[in-house]
Amino acid sequence: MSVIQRPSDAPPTELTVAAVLRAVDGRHLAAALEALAAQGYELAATYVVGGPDEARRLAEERDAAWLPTQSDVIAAIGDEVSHVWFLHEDALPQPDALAALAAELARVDASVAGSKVIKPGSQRQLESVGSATDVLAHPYLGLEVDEVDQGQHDIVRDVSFVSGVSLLARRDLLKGLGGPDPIMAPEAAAIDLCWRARASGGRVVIVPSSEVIHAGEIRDGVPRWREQAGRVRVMLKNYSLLTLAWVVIAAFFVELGTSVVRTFFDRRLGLVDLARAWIWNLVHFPSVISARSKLRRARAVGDEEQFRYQVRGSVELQETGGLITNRLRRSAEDRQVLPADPAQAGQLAGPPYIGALVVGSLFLIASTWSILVNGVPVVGFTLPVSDSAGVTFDSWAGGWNPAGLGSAQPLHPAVAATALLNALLLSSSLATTAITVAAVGAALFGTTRVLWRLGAAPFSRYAAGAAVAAGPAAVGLTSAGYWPGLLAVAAAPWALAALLSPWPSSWRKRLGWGATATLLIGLMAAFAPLAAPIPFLALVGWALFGPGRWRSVAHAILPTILALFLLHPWLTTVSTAQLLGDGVFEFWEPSVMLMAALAGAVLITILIGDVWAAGLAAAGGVLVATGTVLARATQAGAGRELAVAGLVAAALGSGLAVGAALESPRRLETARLWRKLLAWTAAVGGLLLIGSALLVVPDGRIGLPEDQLGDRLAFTVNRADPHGPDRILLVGPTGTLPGEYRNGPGFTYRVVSAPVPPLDEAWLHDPLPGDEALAGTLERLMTEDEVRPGEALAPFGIRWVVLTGRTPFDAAMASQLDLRPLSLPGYRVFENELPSPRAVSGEEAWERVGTGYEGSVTGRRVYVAENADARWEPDRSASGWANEVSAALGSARFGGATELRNIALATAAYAVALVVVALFGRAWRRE
Amino acid sequence: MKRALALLVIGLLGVLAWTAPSPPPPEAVAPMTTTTVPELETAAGFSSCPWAVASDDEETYFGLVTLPPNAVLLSFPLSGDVRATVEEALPGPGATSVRLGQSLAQGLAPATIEFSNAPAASNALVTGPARLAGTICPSSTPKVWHLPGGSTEAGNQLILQLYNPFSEDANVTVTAYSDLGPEPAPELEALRVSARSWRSFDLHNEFPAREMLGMVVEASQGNVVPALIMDVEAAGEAIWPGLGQAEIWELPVVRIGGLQSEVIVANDGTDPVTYEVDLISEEGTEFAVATRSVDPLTQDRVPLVDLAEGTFGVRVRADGPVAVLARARGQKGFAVVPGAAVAAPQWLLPGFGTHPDASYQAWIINPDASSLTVTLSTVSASGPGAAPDKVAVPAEAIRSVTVDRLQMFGLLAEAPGPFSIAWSAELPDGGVAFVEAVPVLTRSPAGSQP
Repeated sequence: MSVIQRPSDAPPTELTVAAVLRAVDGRHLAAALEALAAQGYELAATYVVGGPDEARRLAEERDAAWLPTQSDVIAAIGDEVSHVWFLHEDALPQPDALAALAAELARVDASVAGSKVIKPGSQRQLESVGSATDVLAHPYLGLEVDEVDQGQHDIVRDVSFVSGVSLLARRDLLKGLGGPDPIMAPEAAAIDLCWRARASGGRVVIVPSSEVIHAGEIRDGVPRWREQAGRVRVMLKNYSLLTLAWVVIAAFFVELGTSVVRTFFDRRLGLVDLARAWIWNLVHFPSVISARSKLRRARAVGDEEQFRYQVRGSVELQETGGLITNRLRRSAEDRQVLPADPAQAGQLAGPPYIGALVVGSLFLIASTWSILVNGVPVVGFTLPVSDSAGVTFDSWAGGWNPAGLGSAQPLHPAVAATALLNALLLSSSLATTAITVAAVGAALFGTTRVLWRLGAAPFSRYAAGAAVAAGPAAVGLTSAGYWPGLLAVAAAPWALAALLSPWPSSWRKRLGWGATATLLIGLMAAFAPLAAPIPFLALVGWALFGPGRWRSVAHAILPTILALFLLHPWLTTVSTAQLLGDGVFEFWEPSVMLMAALAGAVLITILIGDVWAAGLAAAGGVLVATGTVLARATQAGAGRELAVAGLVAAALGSGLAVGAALESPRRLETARLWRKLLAWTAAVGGLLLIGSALLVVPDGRIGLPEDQLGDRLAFTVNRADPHGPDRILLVGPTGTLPGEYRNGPGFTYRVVSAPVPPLDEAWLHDPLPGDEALAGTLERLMTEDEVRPGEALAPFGIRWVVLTGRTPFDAAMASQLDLRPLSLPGYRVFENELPSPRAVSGEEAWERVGTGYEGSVTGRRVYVAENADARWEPDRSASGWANEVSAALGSARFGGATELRNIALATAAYAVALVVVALFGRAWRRE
Repeated sequence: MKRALALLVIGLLGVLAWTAPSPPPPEAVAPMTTTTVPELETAAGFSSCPWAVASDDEETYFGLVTLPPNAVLLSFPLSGDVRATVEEALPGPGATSVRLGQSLAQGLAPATIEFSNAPAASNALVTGPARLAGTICPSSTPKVWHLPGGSTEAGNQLILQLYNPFSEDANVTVTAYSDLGPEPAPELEALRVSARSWRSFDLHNEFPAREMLGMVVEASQGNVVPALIMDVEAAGEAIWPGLGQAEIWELPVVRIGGLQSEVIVANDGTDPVTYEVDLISEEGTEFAVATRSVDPLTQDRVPLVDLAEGTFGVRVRADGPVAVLARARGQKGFAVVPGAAVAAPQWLLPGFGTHPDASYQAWIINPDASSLTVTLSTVSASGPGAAPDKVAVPAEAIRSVTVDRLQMFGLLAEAPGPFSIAWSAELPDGGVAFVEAVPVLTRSPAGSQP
C-alpha cells in the first residue's frame, strides 16, 4: 500500500497502452471514444469489441479497430503494446484516468490496476473502489448504500479485484492467462481476471486517482444467474483441488439456503436461478479444465494469497440476514399504519425496537432450546408431522384415514394445515421442530404486531408476546401435550392483527384485506376450530370497552364466517354436539398466584388507566375470563375443542391485558402520583405473568412434557420384519397415550403405526367393526379366557403390545402364552411371536406404502387389516371386520370417498383463491 | 360506565371459572401384587397343571371336561420351549382323558391346557403303585397364592412346585410359616422362574421337621401356578394347588373309610381370625360345633374324628379371610382337598372316572334352606351319558353318590340352585384321592372385584 500520488508527481512511465472498449448496444460508444481521445496519456491503439453494426461503424469513423469478440483482442494487439486498458462502453474516464492508472501501476509494479468507479450525477456516489470477496467469490464492495465520494477511499491498495469498468493489465500476463473469460458475466469476469493475475504472482491494486464515471450499473442487462454462475466458475478455475473440495459444497448450500429464504423477499425465482447457474457450469465444465491447465503453468502462489484479500464468512448470508432485519424494521416503520400520536411514532424505530427484538429472539431460543437440540417430544397430541405431506393430503382429500384401524372419515383440519406447512418445508425431517419453533416465534411476534397496531411501545409489545407464547394459558395447552393448540395460539394474534389493520380505501385492497384475514383466521381455526370467533370477540371487546370502532367489528364478521369453510371436509362430518362435547382435555388449573396477579393487573388498569389502557385491559380480561370458564367446563360437558378454544382465548387475552398493564404507566405521565403508583402496581402484576413465562426455559420445551414415546418406540425399527413395522397396541392409564384413545375395562388403549405415530393418527374415528372386534378381544384377554393374545391380535396387524403404565391389563399380559416380553428400558413391551403383518397374501407380508399396501403380483387374495370398507381396491370383499382384495395388481389401495374428495378439492381451490386475492391485494397496497 | 360493565362481566366470568368443579381424580389402579378376595377357580378356556409325572411306575391322567364343543391343545413346555403337544376334539358337552405316558414319558412334565371355547376344566390324576393323587388344573392366575396344609415331619416329603406356563419370566417371593411362626427363607425370596418352565423345591431341606407348614407365593412380575405335593410314608401322595382366601368355605369330602381327617384353617393375614366349624351330615347342619381362632401366619387344625361319624361335610365360617382345606390320612391312603369358596348351580368334575380301576364317589352339600335335586351326568368323548343320576339333597345336608359307569371321563353336576360338590377316588389296592370340582361361573375381569 502507498499513499496516493497525483499523476503530475509520478515518475515518468514507459507504458504503451492499448484501450479495449467492450461495446454492448453502442448507445454510449461515441461518448466513450471521445473520452479516450481526450486522455492526456497517449494510447497506442483503440479497439472496440462486439456490439451492433453501429458500434463497428463508429469504431471505423474514429480510427479504432473493431473486433467481433473479446477473445480476438489479445491476438490482435501487437507486441509493441505493454498494457491493455479494458473499458466498458458506458464508462467515461476522466482525462487523467489512464495517466493515473499507468503511473500507479508502474510505480507499485502491479499487474492489474483498476479505477475508482463513480455513478453519474453531481453527488459523486461511489460504485466501486476496489473490492474484497468472500471465499465463495461473492464480491464485498465495502460501501454504504449511495455512499458519496469524499476522498475517504483514496488510497492505492491491493484488493481482491477491481471493477471491469476500467481495468489496466499487463499484456504479457493477459496473453499467458488467455485474457478475460469471454463467457463470464462482467463482474465475475473481472474477479476471475484479477484472481488469475494474483495467482500468477501479480499484484492487483485500486488506483482511486483514476476516476471513471459509469453510466450504468455493472450488472445492468446481465441476468442475476449469470453472475451467480460466473462466481462458481471463478472458484472452479482458480482454487486448488483441496480448497475446491469443500468450497464448492459450501457454495451450493449457501446459495440454496439463501435462495430459499430470498424467494420470499427479493428473488422470486431464486431457486430457478440457482439451478440455471449450476447447470450452466456443468455445460461449460470442459472449458474449466483447459483454463485450470493454463493457470497451473502460470501459478506462482497458492490459494492462501487469495484468502488474504477475502472477508470472513459468507457475504451472501450476511446480505440475506440484513435483508430480513431490514424488512422487519421497514415493516415497523411503515408510516401508513403509524399511530396518530407522534410521541408513540417515535418509539417504533431505533434502539428500543432493536433491543426488544433481540430480547424477543433470545427468549424464543431459550424457551425452545431443548426442541432445537433434541427435537419435539412425542407425547399426547404432540406427534411428528407425516414424512410425506402428499400422503397426508391424499388422506385429507377423501383418502384413507390411517388412525387406529383406519377409516374413511376425514382428517382433523390441523393435520391438513401442518401438512401444508410441512410441504412448504419440503417434507423435511426437521419440519416438526421448525414448525414448533416458528409457532413460538409467531406467537411472540404476532402479539407484538397486534399491540403495535394498537399503538403500544416496543417493550410492552414484546413482553406481552412472551405472555401469549409461554404464559399460563399457552402452557396449559402445551403441558397437556396438545401441540396443535400451540399452533393455534401462534396464529391467533396474527388473525387479530389482520383484523386490526386499517380498512383499505379501494375495493381491490379490501378484497386483499379480507382474504388475508380469512386465511389467518382459518389457519388458527384449523388447529382449534372453536377458536375461530376469538379474534372477532377480541375486536368486540376492544370496541365495547375501549376506543375500538364498531365498524371494524362489522368488517370482521365476514372473514370469520368465510374462514370456517377452510375447515372442510372435516367440518361436514362433525356434529355440533361432537364439536362441543367430544374428547377429553386436562382440566386447567393455573397457578392461583399468577391468575391473581393477572386479575389484579386487569382490575387496576381498568380502574385507573386511560381509555386506551382500560379498554385493552378489559377486552383482554374478558377473553381470559371467558377462556378460563371454557377450559374448566369439563364437568359441564365441555369437550376437547371447547377447552382448547378457551385456552387460546385466555392466551390471547392475557397478552392484551399484560400489554395494557405495562403500557399504562407511560400513558399516565401527567397524572397524579397515586394513579401512577397504581399503574406501576398493575405493571408489576403483568411482569409477574411474564416472569412465569421464564419457567419454560429450564426445560426448553415451551412447556411440552418430556418425550414419552419417541425414544421408547424406536426399538420397533430394528425389530421390524422386512415388510416394515406393523402396528403397536398401547395400553395404559389416561394421559399416557398419544392422541385420542379408547376405553377398556380399567384402562385406555389405542392402536398406532410403528415406529412413531404421525399427527395424522392423533384423532380417532368413531368405532367401526374392527375397533369393536379389538375391544372384544381385549375384554376377553382381561377375563383370561384368552391366553393367546398374540394369536388374537395378529389379525389386527398388531406386532407389539406396549404398557405405558400400570393398569389391570397388566394381569392379562402376565398370564399369556404367545407374547414375548422384551427387555427394554421404559415401558413394558411384548412382541407377538406370530407373524402380524397389516396386509398379507398367503405367506407374503405386503409392505405399507402411503396408506395402501404393495406386494407381489399373484392370483391370490390379500388380507388387509383395515376397517372394512367397500371402497378398497381391487376386487374387494369383506373378511370379517377387515378387507380382502385381489393381489392381481400388486397393490391394495383405498379407492377414495368421492364426496369428501370433491369437498376437499373445493376447499383447496377456495384456499388457493384466497391466497391469490390476498397477494393481489398486498401488491395493490404497495402500489 | 364502560369500566363498570367490564369489571362486572369479568367478575361474573371469573366467579364462574373459579367455581367450576374439577373432575374427580382418576380411579386408583387396583394393586396388582396383593389381593384379599379369593381368585375364584372357575371353568375357563385355559388351565395349567403344575404337577404331572410319567415314568416307569407313575402315570398321569389329564381329565378334560367341556360344556361347548371344543378343540383342546395340551402342550408340555420345558426350558422355554414346547417339547410336545397333544390335540383333542371334544363334543359339547364332552370329556376325555389324556394319558401323559402316551406322549411323553420323561418324568415330570407340567402341562398347559388350552380350550378353544369356555367353559371347560381339567384336572390331573397321578397314579402309581398303591397311590392316587388328584387335583384340578387351575385356570386362574392371581398374583398371590396361599398354600397351607404342608408338613415336613419325619416320613413326609413336601415339594413346592412353581410352574410358569407363560411367555414372561416370573419373579416370585415365597413366604413360609409353620408351627414355629414365620420362617425366614432368603433363598426363597426373589426367585426367578423362567418363561415356560418350572422350579421344584424340596421343602424338607429348607424347613425340616415342621408339623404344619404353609406357604404364600407372590409374583411381582409375571405369574406362576404353584402346587404342593406331599408324600406321606406308607400312606400315599396328595397334590393340591394354591388357594385364594375367603370367609366361607365348604368341604364336601373330608373322609372316606377309616381315614383320620382334619380341617386346616390358615391365616396368613395380619390380624387374628375367629372361625366356626359347621358339621353337615345327611340329617342336616350342626352349626358351630367348634369355634376357634387362628393367629396371623399360623394354621389351625380341627380334627374331625371326635366330631362326627358317617357321611358328613364341613363348612368353615370366619370373620376374616382364610384358606381352608381338608386332609385325610389312613391305611387306605393320604388325601388333601381344598375347600370350595363358592356355591354354584353348575359344576364340572374333570377326571371323574378316568382311572379304570378306581371307584368314585361324588359328595354334594346343599347349603340352602330347601331341598335340591342335583343332576349328575357322566360325559365321555362321545358326549353325555344316556341316563343322568338325580340326587335329592335335603336342605342343609350332604349326600354322597357312588357313580359307576364305564367309559366316563368326567361328570357334570347341575341343580336349580347353588350347591357345592367334590369327589373322591379310591383304588382297590390302596390309594385315595380327594378332588375338588370346578364351578361354572361368569368370570370377572382381572383386577376387578368379583
